Amino acid sequence: MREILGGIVFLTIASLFFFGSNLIPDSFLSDEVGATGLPKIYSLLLMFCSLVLIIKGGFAILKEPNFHLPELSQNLVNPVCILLAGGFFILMVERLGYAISSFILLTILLKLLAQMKLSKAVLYSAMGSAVYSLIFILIFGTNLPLLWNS
Amino acid sequence: MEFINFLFELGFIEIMIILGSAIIGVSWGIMGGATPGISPSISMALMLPITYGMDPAVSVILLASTYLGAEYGGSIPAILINTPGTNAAAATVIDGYKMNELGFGSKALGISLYSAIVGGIVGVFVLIFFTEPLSRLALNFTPMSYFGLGILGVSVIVSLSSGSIFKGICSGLMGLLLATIGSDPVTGVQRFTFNSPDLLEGIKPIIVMVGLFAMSEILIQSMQNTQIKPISFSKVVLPNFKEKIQLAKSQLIGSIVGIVEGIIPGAGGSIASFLSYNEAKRWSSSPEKFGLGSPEGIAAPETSNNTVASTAIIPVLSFGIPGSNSAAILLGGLLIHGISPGPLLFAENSSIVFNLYTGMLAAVFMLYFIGKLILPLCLWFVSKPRNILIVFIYLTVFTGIYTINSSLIDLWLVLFIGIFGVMMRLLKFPVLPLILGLVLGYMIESNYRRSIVLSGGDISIFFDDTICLIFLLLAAIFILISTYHELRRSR
Repeated sequence: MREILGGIVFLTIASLFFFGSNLIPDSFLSDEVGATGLPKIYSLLLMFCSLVLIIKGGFAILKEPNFHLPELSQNLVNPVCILLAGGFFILMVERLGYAISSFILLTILLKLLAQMKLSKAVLYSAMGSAVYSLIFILIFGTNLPLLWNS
Repeated sequence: MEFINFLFELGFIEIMIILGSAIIGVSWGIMGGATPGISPSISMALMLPITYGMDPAVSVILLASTYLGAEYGGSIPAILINTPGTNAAAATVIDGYKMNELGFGSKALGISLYSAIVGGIVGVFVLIFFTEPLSRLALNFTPMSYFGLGILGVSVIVSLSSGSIFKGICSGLMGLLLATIGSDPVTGVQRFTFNSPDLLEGIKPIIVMVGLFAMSEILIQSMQNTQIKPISFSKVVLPNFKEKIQLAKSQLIGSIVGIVEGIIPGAGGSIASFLSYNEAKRWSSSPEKFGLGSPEGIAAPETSNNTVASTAIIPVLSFGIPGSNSAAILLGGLLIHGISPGPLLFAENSSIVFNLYTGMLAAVFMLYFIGKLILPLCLWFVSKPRNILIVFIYLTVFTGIYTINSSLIDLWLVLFIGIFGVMMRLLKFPVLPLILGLVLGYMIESNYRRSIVLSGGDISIFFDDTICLIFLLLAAIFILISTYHELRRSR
């Protein structure tokens, strides 16, 4: 079953690249291979290998019909929380600044993932955000926006 | 000789910077390696974005010493809680945990530390003596030779695809496709960029590495509600002189296996440690003690995987071909500073290579002190609930990636590549072929097209170039042997 699922994902990606390479503009500097040459070759090869995987997986299911899906029944709430909180951080970091965005990210995740009390999560987040800001902005001198509009 | 002159010319401040970088790298590596689930490559991937703004020499020393530290760190939970911190420490569990159960946990940690130092010294000296002669060979390379070298590098994918060659090839082709994103190397036209200026230079390997290793690990670890095993306080007791003599044979075996396996792309520390364990048992005067708490059963794999930590860097520096996840991340560390490994590395950036050698030597000796001092901190760190660590590692990943280009697209990419990495891992697709494809994709395409332009479209130019022909033949042999082994294994 893993072969079939993986094959479908890679077949989709290969098709997107193959048809996407038709949109690459021509150049008068173009050589014999051209800008579309290798992307098309790679995506065709990837399509072929994905199809082989799908067929292989299909034969395996025919041989043993009682197949099992990969274990996706695990706790999916935590990764979804992480992804949503990460998306929120990305949307906010340039608006609210690094210190506040990282504080919010840490508070949400410590509360939801580590199941801390809110007061403890806020305290840990404030300390974490301050330490990270100190290390990355003041010590390493990186160009993170410390506060809003900075 | 040049390296010895470099050592004599080092000033006080330079020595302090090298020592400081080695200490930080080794400490970070030991703590990462000691945390089950955080492999050496993940420890390095977490360090990689932080090193972006640093001096290139400091950055490579930090990464290489993290690798060395993590290989030793992996043995700590292997010995104390029967859980290898890294894949390469899996062989150490067999006798290490048994010794701990028998009440010799401190001694087992000491044997592991001492063997890590021996393996590290051997590995660094092999690295120093072999890298430059190998890279000198590459001075005669033409565009066709580089194309052949790229194909040889990609052929490693077959040996990295244990279980299913097609899965490995799919992963490798995905990497090659990702390498085509950005400006075309010959005409400069935009490919798959969606008119975003952030994608004009393509997807940086560092983004893909952090996404596939660190981000996917965060997501996978957050799915699991792992119970933390209680760890009793331990200290490191190094072996005495007599015990050191008794361990010498197994350490010699571990070193030889580590040298060979490190240089062969795709072999890696975990294969080396099991192979050396097996050989040490075969050559031991008391093989019956293996599995029951034999010190030799710890010494051989630990020497071996710490030798690999240095020798795996040889193909990276000489030819720019990474043979393992950790070596690929070190290559990423060089690339983000605009340093291209290969023949010109010694001509243009010899001081960075010599700094790396010096830093790795310093890191090996620092292992002795830090390995003893940091143990209580490691035990405290490993005892913390996993989800708290995940939250702070997540912020480290985001912060590090944002500091590279101040690009929000990079952050979205890391997030999506992380999800793709989770899918690959759940569906048992190997990750390293994708990294290889991405890193070697540009080399293959640009040199292939240059060669075709040179020959006026005649592909026989690849067979007329002797070096290219040798590489293509080696690639063919490599693929045939790996396929044969794979077919035999599946039967």
